Amino acid sequence: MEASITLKSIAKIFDSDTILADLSIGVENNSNHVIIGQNGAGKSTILKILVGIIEKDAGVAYIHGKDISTRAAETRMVTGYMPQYIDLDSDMTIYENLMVYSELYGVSSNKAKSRIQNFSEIFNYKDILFKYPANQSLGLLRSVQFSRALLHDPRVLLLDEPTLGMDPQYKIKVWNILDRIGKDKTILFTTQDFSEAEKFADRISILHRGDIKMDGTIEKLVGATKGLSKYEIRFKDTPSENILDPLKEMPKILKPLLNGNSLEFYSNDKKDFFRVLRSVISSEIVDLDISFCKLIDLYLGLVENGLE
Amino acid sequence: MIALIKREFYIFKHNLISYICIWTLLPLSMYLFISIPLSHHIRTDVINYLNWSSIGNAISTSSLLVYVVSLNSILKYKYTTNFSKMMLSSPKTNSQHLMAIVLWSTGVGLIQFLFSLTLTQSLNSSNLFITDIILILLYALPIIVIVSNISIFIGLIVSSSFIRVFLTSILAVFFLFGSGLFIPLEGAPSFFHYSPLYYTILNIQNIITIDSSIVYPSIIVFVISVIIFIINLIVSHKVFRT
Repeated sequence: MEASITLKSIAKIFDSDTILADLSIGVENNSNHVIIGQNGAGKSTILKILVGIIEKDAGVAYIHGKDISTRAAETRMVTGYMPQYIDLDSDMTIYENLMVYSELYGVSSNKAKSRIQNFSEIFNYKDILFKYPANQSLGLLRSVQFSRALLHDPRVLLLDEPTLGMDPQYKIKVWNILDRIGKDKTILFTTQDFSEAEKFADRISILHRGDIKMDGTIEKLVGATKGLSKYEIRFKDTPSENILDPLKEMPKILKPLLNGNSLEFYSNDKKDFFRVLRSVISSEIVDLDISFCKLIDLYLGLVENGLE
Repeated sequence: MIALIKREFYIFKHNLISYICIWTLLPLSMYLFISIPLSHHIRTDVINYLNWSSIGNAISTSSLLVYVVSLNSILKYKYTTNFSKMMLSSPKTNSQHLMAIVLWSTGVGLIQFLFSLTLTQSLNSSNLFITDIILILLYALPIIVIVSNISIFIGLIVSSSFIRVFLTSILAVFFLFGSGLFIPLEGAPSFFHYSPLYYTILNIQNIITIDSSIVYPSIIVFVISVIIFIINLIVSHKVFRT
């Protein structure tokens, strides 16, 4: 499939800290792609580079085949960006904020008015449209920002934690809209909410230490673990640390951990689970839990280096 | 560019009363606290000092306003959470952003100039013809533009607010008392006379004293402001998108 967004060997350094190092990533046309990573991993930096708010130090980036450095006006014209923080102008009303944004992208006044009207009805901010952003709720302002990013009907949407600060009702509205319009748009978003990433993204990239460490569909990422499962044995009383000793001698067991009353570990061989069970049977067990590796397990495993 | 100016207009609309207060109170304060006290010590030829200093009043008040408006606008581009920063993600280029600031602040400055001139001239029962006012405005325009560009330059390169205030104070003192706005510089050291700014101001004063005036100092000031604009444009690429 044709790539809508391409980043090749992108590097960005802030005050001698390397945020992005030789990062390469491709986002397919008309797909939903999510970037997940720790705080400060560089997720927002990628979006800001693509939209031109910050300059990259090295590498090349293309949006729909156009270089974002040499054909900036063209690439920005087809891109809608929603930042992570509230950046509405506090000296203008919400309506004026949206009108100015529309004009920046050459949207006609009538079209802008009708779109603002439409979004304000969907997100219930019609009553505050002519008020200043100050003292309005965070969720409402985030929904205004989300609407703003869509006002010029961009082909590419760059959303930095789009549902951050929104209540569940607003989150559902956001994803419903993205679901509806996403068929002919390329959406690149970042999130800390792994359930959203699993549910709405066609493709997931895990960003760690300035580079993409894992990339693919959720099935591919989980599939790469070859059936790795997370096992949890809960005891009535807190067992001693010695309980971990037999587990450490089993080579296929990963990340054994005593977490309060619970013993947790990963393995892709179910027989290991029975071996562990036999070794701890002297302690009173109250519950057992087995689950296939999820995105969060992969992510935590990667970040904490245990499953890499 | 219209969108960028429209944003300034929306903000202006909400602060119209404040602007009207500034437009009227600023020249009156200058008149009261600078022109009147100095009128007891300075004697001018042809017309009285209060009349003569009305040009200084108009130029200083409009420059002050232009300086503040431009500085305020350019500093917004430095804050991550500001709408101005977000506007950098739009298809508008850095030059359009800078040009919008210069055009808007010049417009606001010209209105201040007219307010100041009208107020001080009416206080001294002076009669200026409409052609004189147009000529004065044309000569004053490059000064307003250069002040806007200098303000943008300071806003771009100076990150410390303390140094910014310090620099602004030095510039204000030099501008008010070292460029012939309120104190005639005939007897001043010769290096003052090499400044195109001084000659531009002198030319404007010549209009109200019905003396001959020449256009080239204004052109030189305008050319310098174009050069500063280009420098600002180069600096903005390093400052805006980092």
